[in-house]
Amino acid sequence: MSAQDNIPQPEDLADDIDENGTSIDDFFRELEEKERDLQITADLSIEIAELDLDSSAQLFIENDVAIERNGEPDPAPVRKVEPAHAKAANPVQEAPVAKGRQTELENEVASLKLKIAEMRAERSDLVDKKDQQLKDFENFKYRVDRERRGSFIDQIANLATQMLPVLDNLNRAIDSVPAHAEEHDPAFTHFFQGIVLVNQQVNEVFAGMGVEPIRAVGSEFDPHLHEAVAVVEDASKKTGTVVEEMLRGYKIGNKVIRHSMVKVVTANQPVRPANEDERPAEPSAEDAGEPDTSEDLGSDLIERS
Amino acid sequence: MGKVIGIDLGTTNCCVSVLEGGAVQIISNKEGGRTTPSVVGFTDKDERLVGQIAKRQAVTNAANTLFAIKRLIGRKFDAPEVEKMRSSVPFEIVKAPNGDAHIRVLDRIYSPPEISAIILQRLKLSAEEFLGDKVTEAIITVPAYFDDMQRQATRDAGKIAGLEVERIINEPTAAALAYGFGKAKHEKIVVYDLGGGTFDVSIMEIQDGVFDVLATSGNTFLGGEDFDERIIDWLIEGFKAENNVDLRNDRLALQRLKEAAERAKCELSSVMETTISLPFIAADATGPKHINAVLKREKFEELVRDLVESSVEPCQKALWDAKLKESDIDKVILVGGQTRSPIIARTVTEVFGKEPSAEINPDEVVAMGAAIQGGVLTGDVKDIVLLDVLPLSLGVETRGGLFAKIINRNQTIPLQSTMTFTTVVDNQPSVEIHILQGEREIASANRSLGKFELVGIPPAPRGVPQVDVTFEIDANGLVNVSARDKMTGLEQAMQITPASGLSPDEIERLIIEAETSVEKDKASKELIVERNRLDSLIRNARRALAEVGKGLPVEDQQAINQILKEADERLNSDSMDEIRDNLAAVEGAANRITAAMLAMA
Repeated sequence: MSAQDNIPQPEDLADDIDENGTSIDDFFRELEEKERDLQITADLSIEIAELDLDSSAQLFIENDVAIERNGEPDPAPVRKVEPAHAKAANPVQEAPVAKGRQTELENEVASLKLKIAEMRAERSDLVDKKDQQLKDFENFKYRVDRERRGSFIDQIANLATQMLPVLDNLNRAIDSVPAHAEEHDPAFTHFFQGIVLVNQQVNEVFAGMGVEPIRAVGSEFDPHLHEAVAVVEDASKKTGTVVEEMLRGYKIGNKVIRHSMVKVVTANQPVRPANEDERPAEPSAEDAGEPDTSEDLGSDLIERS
Repeated sequence: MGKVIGIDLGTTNCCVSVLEGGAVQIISNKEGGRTTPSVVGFTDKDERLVGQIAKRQAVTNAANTLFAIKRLIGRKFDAPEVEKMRSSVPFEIVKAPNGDAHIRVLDRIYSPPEISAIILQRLKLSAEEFLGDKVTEAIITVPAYFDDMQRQATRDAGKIAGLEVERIINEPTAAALAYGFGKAKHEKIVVYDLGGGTFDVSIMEIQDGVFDVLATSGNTFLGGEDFDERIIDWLIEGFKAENNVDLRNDRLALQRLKEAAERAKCELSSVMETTISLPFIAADATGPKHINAVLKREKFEELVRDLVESSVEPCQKALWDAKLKESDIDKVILVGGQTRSPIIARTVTEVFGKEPSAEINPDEVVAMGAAIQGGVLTGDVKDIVLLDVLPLSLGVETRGGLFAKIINRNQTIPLQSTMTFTTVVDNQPSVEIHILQGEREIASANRSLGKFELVGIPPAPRGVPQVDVTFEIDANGLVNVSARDKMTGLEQAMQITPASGLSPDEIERLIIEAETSVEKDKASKELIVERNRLDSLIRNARRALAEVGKGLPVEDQQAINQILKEADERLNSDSMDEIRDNLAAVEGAANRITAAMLAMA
């Protein structure tokens, strides 16, 4: 049956999409073509089913190969079925009831019936495949759409993530200047003031992009916003309170682009040893004595050293 | 059959993927990561945190943050691996009544499959979001050396998470599938897997759809993190020599060093040198100090040489165990992020005399292979037949504590095999059938699956009675063992259900529990969304009030300020109603500000 040759094999389908997956339009166009092909196949099969066969031949087809295997000869006269594409011109032909011809015809019917069964199986495979791919594609479209909508914020977030270390270092630079340093050197004072202005400017640029700092010190620790890197025991504060911001976190709207790196108050929980994370490097007495200056990012850095 | 997802359930990280339109897609998690840390945190607010978020709170909640659970799954409390872990993790590992290793968290005991299920559930949700459809079937990968119990426990984990685990396949098999092996060629391949915390090397023979693991070896405590550590040490030493300041005592500095070291390591995979620049890393009386170090690839390789060398011996051992020479190997595949370092590829080339393949992202290759196996099952992948094989040999204990294999491993199932045994003393009235699984000659070195006795053997000199022991394995891996005295026809049988230490009832109960917790997670997610909304609303209202508030009567300003202040104070409330009430109040306040703004205009 030549129609069979036109049916795209499932592997081809998959391959095509794989290779041409670069453009959505291409993909869609292709899908439509495949669908048309499938339509043709489906129509053909229906024609076969509707052929003017007598009841026993019909039964043959419907009951599949099983009858043949049982070796039951078909007593009724059989009509020869032309391949589907030729049907329109010459649908059925009367078969001579000659005895010798009967076996031949039976064989032919059997082989045709097999082919039909094969084609049916193939058709239902292809229809399933088509449905699945259509679904895949719909979902793909939906996903691309969603990603496109998110991509603007993603790009800002991406840019900001790369720029934040620069801002951090600028802050560190400013914080590293000891108090009253400017009293000694007027030239340095001017330079320092300039740097402070640059810092302010960078902050404004970030704010303009919708990047805002995450609240940390004094609020309750929230792993959605904060990353705990150290803990401290402090009976005077509620467990879970952020007491120090080691690195400022930022977000755009509700999207966190960097989590605040924080120190958190813990209850005196019995912690088993051997996990390095559990041995706070800093002696807690130092932390307890330290005033809560952490809003001022980095200032404690100097004190600690 | 719907989509079958492929899951690489790793010790440190997980990855999930699916076949879509003929191509394998890696499914990102909610936070955008293509892999998810295998970490689960339980909070005192009855939340279950999974992945990156659980990692972020680990320090504050160490006793209730579980990681590396894969090292416990399907193991006994007394197993050496478990013992090693007990002394090194901050959470509590306890002995279950049946001797299994379980974990106590917040006064509740969890079995390892339950914890893995929490991770799997999260991966399942990501997949459902990605596919826009329910996902109920999965392929999960396990290390090649996992025994039946560990495999079954992994299967149970899937079940608890609401996933029908269609197959459990070996990680090296998955990697080989991703590379397109298994297409009826006869090949011997090596899979060199250096992940975040473990190193595995497997040698496989692939023939007619059967992936036969010939030998495995490795080091369960060697991974990429050790490499980072070497760079950190180098930086700290250098800084100390130059500035006499020890950065080890500075939490923040260490954190910055860790990130910089990891980045430098990655960069050195493609360039010959990289600059590590960490300004203002510390300060002393003389002023601020910076790190500005150039790390050459050569230097990096010198720093990690011994780590890389330590992976060579397991490779040679695996070759030896597989009774192969390096020239017998057709292909070497690299798996795990750390294999991106060129020194690994070079070393592997030296050991096996072959350039390894690394075209596929080594972090994702195992999950991809699992998805391909899923495609084989759904019929989307047609040119590969992967047969189900028995992973370990089965047999019984015989005289002198030896192990008699009745079915050898790597045979395709279902299958059946019989062997005839006899008595060892005169007039022995019964024989004990002790069923074992494993590859070792000594019975006690293998895993015991169960035992039963065949009694009523008529008195006879030793060696005369004949007892047929039959092993029958069905397509689902269920093992039936029967013993039959040939003379009397007496028969005893036992069914070995693949046991993970959890009974079917328990699993059923856990499935229901897991489903409820998904509901709870959903509720808490909504709470967070609303809370975030309230937070930004308060901020915006404050900003607006500062800008245009002067247009309002003073008492209004005060009233609005009061509303905002109260809402802000109760921002962390866990009551949805309260948050919603506050949202309404703040919205009202915001409207009044807007009205004032319009009046001014």
